[in-house]
Amino acid sequence: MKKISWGAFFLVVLGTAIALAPYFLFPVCQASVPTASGGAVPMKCFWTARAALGDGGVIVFSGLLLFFVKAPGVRLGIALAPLLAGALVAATPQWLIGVCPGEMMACRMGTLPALTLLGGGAVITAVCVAAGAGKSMTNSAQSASLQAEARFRAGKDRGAGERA
Amino acid sequence: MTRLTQFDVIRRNLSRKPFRTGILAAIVFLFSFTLYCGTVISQGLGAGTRMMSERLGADVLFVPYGYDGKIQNSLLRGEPSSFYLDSRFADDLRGEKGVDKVTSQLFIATLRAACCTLPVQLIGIDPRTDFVVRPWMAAVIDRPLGESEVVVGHKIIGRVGETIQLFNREFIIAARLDSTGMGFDTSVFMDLDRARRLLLLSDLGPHLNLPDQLDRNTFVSSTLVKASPLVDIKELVNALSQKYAVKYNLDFVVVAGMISDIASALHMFSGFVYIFSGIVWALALVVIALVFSAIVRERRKEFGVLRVIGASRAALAQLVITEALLLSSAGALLGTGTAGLIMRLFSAYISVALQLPSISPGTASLLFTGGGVFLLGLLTGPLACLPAVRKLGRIDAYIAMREEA
Repeated sequence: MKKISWGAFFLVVLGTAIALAPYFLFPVCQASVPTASGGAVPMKCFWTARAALGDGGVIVFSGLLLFFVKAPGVRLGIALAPLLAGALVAATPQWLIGVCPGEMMACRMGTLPALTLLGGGAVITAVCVAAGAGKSMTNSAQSASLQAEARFRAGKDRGAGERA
Repeated sequence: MTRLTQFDVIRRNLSRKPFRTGILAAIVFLFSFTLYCGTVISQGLGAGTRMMSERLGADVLFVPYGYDGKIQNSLLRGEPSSFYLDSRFADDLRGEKGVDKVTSQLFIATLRAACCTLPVQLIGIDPRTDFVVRPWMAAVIDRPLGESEVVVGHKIIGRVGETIQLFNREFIIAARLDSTGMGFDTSVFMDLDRARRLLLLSDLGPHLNLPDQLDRNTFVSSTLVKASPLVDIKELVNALSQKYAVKYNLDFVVVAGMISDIASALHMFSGFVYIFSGIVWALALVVIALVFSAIVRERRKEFGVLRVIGASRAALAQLVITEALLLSSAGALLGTGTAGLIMRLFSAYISVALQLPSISPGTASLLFTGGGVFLLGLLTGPLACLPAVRKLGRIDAYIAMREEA
């Protein structure tokens, strides 16, 4: 049976949730700020939602790549992308862009905690994938060294036999 | 050569069947998660209800006819609304038998500003007669409010000393109230006369449903009554309604009734949470018991070998119980931790979604509840595997090894 990459699966699910949460699950505020010239500009949370859409896309793409890539070194490299993107997802509504200041605003009550939680989840999942890849790399290095040692011993024994 | 410890055996057994291990831990996770979330929400609602009964010092609220629901929404959830009543009603009540205290309040809903604000409930209180807000407002401000000063609820943006804009006018925030879990958290308080003048000066009367026939100098929104001691509230309300309901077009809300409605909703919610948690716990016990029974049957030969090489029955029992303990501790830790994180992050969202007065429990209370739930989750595995352990005690090493051979 083909082994499922649970880390990749969780990253795809989390990435999708991150991209969609600010629009559907925990939507950001819909109002805009009027300008002196009579126009209107979006609020902070609008840009946070946009950033989450991009970060979520990166996490989904990394998850999809992890389904197909088996080489531990490459998996380790790919896992760094969702790790950083997840950290950005959590940091964007908190510090980098922020959300509206009112405690009763939809973005502060729903979007901010949701993105913090989902971003944290993506970071933890990415760390697990990276740790798994790192372990595989260590195991393959160990088995390669054992094989080399076995080959060396076999060659030494053959040489001794021939000499005898 | 590395020495194989009891812990190594358990760890290898658990990691050999990751799916089974995951499912068993997930059941304990579900139990801990449900119980923790339910308990914390119940505690929050209980504290909110208690706070509400303490803060609403009145026995009866009189409002214009049809606005009983509006004032309840405003008090419970902070949904802003504007409605008006003739203030002469309060003067009439002062001489009535069974009436101890009377005060009036004016409720005005502010308009939504463009960015980062929501409409708030502006409440005008009468400093001469108020017995509802003043007693607990005194904890944050013990002097009369100035002409352009307001006291804001816990969730209103702005620090003490900063200004807040209401109806295009700047007001200084004189004090900020502590969290009440009620609609007061999103309300702004000012003197009644000042609130009335603000409404008239703003020319927003038509937008805020101000009827033309009301006296522009004396309108209020609600009249609050504190009954004299030992007076039956129902009888008092009946007598006052018969006398004044038609004259002033009145409706009323009995505070004790409103609180008892909330308390019964809370009891229903808590009952549902504990019944659901009980079902999940029973399910966890049964599933773990069945799985461990199967594990013991499956590993009879292994246990037989261990007995032959010198392991006592107690050591084997310890092996199985520790395995169950590790499983349930993982589930309980993850369940309690995740629930704690979600309850902490989403406390405002949950409070609004419940539409009932709710106060988030403090850190100490959250930790205490978390500890209790974790302990209960932790015990699930060892308790459930006791029948399997008893079965283990009956294994005969020689027969077990021959059976499997």
